[in-house]
Amino acid sequence: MIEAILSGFSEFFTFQILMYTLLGVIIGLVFGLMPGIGVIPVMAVLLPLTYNMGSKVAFTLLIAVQAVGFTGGSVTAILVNIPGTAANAATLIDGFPLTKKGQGGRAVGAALCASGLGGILGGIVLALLIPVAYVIVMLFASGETALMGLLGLTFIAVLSKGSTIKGFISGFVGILLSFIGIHDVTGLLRFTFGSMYLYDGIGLIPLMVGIFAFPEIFDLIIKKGGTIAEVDRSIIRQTGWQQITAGMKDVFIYWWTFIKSSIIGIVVGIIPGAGAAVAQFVAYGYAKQSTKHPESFGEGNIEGVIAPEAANNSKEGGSMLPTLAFGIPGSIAMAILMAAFLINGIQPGPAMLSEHLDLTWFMIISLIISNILGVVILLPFISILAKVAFARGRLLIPIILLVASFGAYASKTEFLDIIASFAFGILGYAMVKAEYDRVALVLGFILGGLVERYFTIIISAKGAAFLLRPPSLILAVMIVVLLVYNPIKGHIQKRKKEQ
Amino acid sequence: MRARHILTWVFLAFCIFIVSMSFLYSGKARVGPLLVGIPLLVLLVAQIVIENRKKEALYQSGQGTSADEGAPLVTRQAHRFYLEIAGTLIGLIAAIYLFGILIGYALFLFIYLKLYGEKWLFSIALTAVFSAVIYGLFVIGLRMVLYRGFLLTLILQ
Repeated sequence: MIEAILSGFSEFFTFQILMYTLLGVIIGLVFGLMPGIGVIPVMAVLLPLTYNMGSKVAFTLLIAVQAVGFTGGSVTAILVNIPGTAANAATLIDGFPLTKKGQGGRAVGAALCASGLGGILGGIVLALLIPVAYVIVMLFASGETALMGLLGLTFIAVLSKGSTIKGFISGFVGILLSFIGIHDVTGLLRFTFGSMYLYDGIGLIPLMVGIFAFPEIFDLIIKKGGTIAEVDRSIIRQTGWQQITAGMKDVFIYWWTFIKSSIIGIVVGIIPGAGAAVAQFVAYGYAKQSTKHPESFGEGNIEGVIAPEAANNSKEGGSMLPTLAFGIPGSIAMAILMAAFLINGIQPGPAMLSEHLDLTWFMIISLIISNILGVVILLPFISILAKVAFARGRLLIPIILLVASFGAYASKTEFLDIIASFAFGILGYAMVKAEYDRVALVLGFILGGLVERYFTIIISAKGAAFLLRPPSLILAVMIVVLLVYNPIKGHIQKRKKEQ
Repeated sequence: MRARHILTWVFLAFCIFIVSMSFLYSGKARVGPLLVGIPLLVLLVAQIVIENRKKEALYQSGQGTSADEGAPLVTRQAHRFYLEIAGTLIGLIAAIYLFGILIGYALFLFIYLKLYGEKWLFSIALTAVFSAVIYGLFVIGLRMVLYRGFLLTLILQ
């Protein structure tokens, strides 16, 4: 083992590998910053180019691109309310209100620090889990994935601001929207009305761009320009290093939130199919649930930025475990990485933990170094990026509108996605006015399809008996506790107030 | 009717539609929509009852038009803003549909900037930089085929 670690280190720290890591990090950050694009199309384009690069260069490049994609995505979520990727959706709940308060620099600083450290922690835990990988991965099956999704859904009750009924209505509408398209299990077309466009269902990116970004643009139009930040321009002086370092310090002040969220990310990452979108919402919901000031979540609480960012990046370490140890890719990015293995003649699976152990360590080191580089490269630009919130609205309106609509288009290069994103923009605006919860709708949409798919599979295969497996039982108990805890807590607080 | 009430009714109509459509599907395909749709129906009815009770209470206390009831959907000023938003969106869709992504975006950006009083040089420069970034990153970098638009497709044919 020690020999493999040393070999991994010596092979990584060469000029060529370091240059490719740097290149991958820059590519990942640039495309992560592009709302709606994300790093998946970039990885897909890079894959054939890695053919003649040699296995180590190819893996370094792809891992670097993948490792920092979510880091870049948090910047647009915080500053302009457009999540760069689906995995940054929870970041905007508290990140954007902080920007409106003129603390965009602090929020981005906290997000980058949590994201970078989360990624490093994910890599370290992956390294520690390698010797016991088999036992851990076998703990999780379809039933646990379904229950993890259900656990995420129960957070609708925790995440809802204001009326809980409206929160559940929004969440349920989101779930119903996720049912549009081909039913994974039966292959039947549902609610498509003969439209080819709806066969694959509603795209997540057009929905998110519409629901979150366009209402802000409409607001800017109504404000006749103005700025995104709702505070005086004089605060612009504070968007420099002072705010960024304050944000980074916040991660250490709220270190327990960071650790808990990172662990949630790693665990969700290990479960194939659950994904970063689940990880961030579970971490966010848990942070809100366990904090002393849940009422400040959604209003610009820095813990609400730290939790999802730590989880969505630490998840990468977790998701590499089933990919490396069993050849089970837990996400599209991991599937692309696995394709790179096969192109280079390496079969992922148990052999990665015996014959290719040095390569496994090489990739773990690559993951950790990429995360460090991602933060170091992006840090100097935060103060410039944070000034977007204070830019003239009349200038921002067309640019954000075009960037957001292009994000909706680019995910599937489908013109109708632009129109769909506008329609969801109108829905999002109406939801804001009517005080319905947009986050709950997106949460329902992301998790609805996943829960239905895995429950149908596991119920068909094992019936309700899957609940007797220890991991399932623990998750089921957590769901029940979460559902019961909030009403009881609310009731107790109400009685205390009355007394 | 206020904005918040209209949306509840829109959700109710959507939910009734989805639930009734679900009965057309067989076996496993309808379980999910029914499991979610029926509780949603109950929640929506409960929400409508709550909203009506609130409205009645406000009318009885003589505050029937209170701001607490939610923003009025159509006032003269709101009407103007909604028209501006609709104009912007329809303008962008028309530009893309006719001229494609690249030219449509450039046209929209330039016209928008000029309409709101930006200088010629600045408008041209920003439009050129924006178009160059889209072309460089996506057409050259990612080899993405951008939507050509109705007119360009017609000309090329």
